[in-house]
Amino acid sequence: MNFIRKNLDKLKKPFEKGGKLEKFYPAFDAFETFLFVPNHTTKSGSHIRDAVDLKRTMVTVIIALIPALLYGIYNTGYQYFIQTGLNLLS
Amino acid sequence: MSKDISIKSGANLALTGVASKEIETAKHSSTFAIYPDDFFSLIPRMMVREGDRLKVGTPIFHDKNDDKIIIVSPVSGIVKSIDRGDKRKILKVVIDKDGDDKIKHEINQNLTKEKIISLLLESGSWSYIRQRPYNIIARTDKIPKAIFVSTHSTAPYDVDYDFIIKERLDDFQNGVNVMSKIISKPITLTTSANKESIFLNQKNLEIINIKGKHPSGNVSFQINRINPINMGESVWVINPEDIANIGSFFRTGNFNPTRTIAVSGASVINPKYYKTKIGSKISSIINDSDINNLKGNRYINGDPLTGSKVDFDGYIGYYNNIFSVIEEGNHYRMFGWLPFKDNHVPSFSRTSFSWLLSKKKKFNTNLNGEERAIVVTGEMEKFFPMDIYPMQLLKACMMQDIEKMEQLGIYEVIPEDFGLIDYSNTSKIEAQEIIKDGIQLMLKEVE
Repeated sequence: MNFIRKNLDKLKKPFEKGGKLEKFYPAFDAFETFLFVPNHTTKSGSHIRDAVDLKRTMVTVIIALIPALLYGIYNTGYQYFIQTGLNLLS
Repeated sequence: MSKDISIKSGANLALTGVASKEIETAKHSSTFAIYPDDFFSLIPRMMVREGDRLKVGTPIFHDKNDDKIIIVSPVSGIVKSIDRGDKRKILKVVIDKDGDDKIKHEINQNLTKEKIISLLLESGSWSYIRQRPYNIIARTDKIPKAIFVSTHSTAPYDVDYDFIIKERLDDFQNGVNVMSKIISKPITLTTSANKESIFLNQKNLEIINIKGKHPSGNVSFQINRINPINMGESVWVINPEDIANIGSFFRTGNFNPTRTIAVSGASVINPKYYKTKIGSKISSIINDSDINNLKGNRYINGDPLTGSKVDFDGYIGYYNNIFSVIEEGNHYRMFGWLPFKDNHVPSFSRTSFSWLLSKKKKFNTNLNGEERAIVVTGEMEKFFPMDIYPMQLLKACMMQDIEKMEQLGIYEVIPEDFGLIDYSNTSKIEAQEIIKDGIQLMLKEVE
């Protein structure tokens, strides 16, 4: 983890304010926050925060969609074979 | 006879490092300070200069909008400095303690309502009274419809008021008697339903037992259930220890700034209660050696959900009974978005097994994510036991739509009620700050 973090810190420099690639900071930030939860601390309001963030909430959406995806794959094939009259098993 | 009320939604945050039930008298503090920011929406006008001599009860500053509201010195001494920030805003008034001179007020036996109010104002004890709506120091021209005192404490690290007031029951009763004369009816006192309260035998009180998790200890929710505020009405809220301080003032004639502080936190070696005065230096209460990893902690005047950040060489706030120490969390964590990873980080979410682990949890100040747009997940309503839509109210405050804010119930809430929403929401928005700005806008535009 330390090795990845060190390299990421090195990579980050040109993307920071005043750097050459400042324009592409959002893209870098997306990649960085995929790997690591940032080291940001609370500034105002509640001083402690829950472990859940929007990324984790959205992952549950992906998990919830998996059964629908699997059934969709199955059903598309099923309908295809009914319509074409092909039966690969026989 | 007492009534029972049960508040259903909410959740308790169990933190490690809760103060044990022992009181120690804090060491002598050589300097004291008052932060004007402790008084919501008060604009201070100084009444003393650097080098002036003060007694206990000498006015330091008054409110710009109402010069009858004064904040007095908690100690006798000399004004050491008046620290100013941007635009000459007064950050704090520091006093060097010296001697023990007190301003004595004449207290008659036959106190009338008007006499009580004028004595409270003259002595500075008026600052102990806060008014709903808005949570400001009570307006001097309005008599409230009720006075609320809550001993039902549910916030993380919150103090046990039965334990604090136990030794001062006479002063507490005296304060209750005096304050109930103002409204000509008993004061509403709320207690925890799950334990025997020491206040049950006190007079002039209407006692209501509250059952429920945090935030049922917040007075807003209690007022909403017991005696809701309608347009044009107001309710006063007083901290139980301040009722005892007011009682002590009417017994002795001297302003009483006693404050019992629960020093709590996982980094505190022996968390316990300390008896001290308002504005005393934090390092006079706890030594460096009482805290693990002195520089790696955040020091908070108040509880971790609603308190304000302070340096270790800062001072105790005006109203708080809690002083919390929380570890700073400025470190990275890998793949935090994976559900069921890092279960040691506490969470109410079912994407974590943290609820299966030990009951008492260790928290740090990491944001655990970045601020994002609001997503409707229905989680705010789970932690808001009031007939108000919290998300819609937050959005109205962001839009500065006064009419909508009124319709959605801005008069009934204060920032601290959004503490748990601040903690639990996925989008990491600063709900308390948004409500604070909203209330400030209401004060400016409507009042």
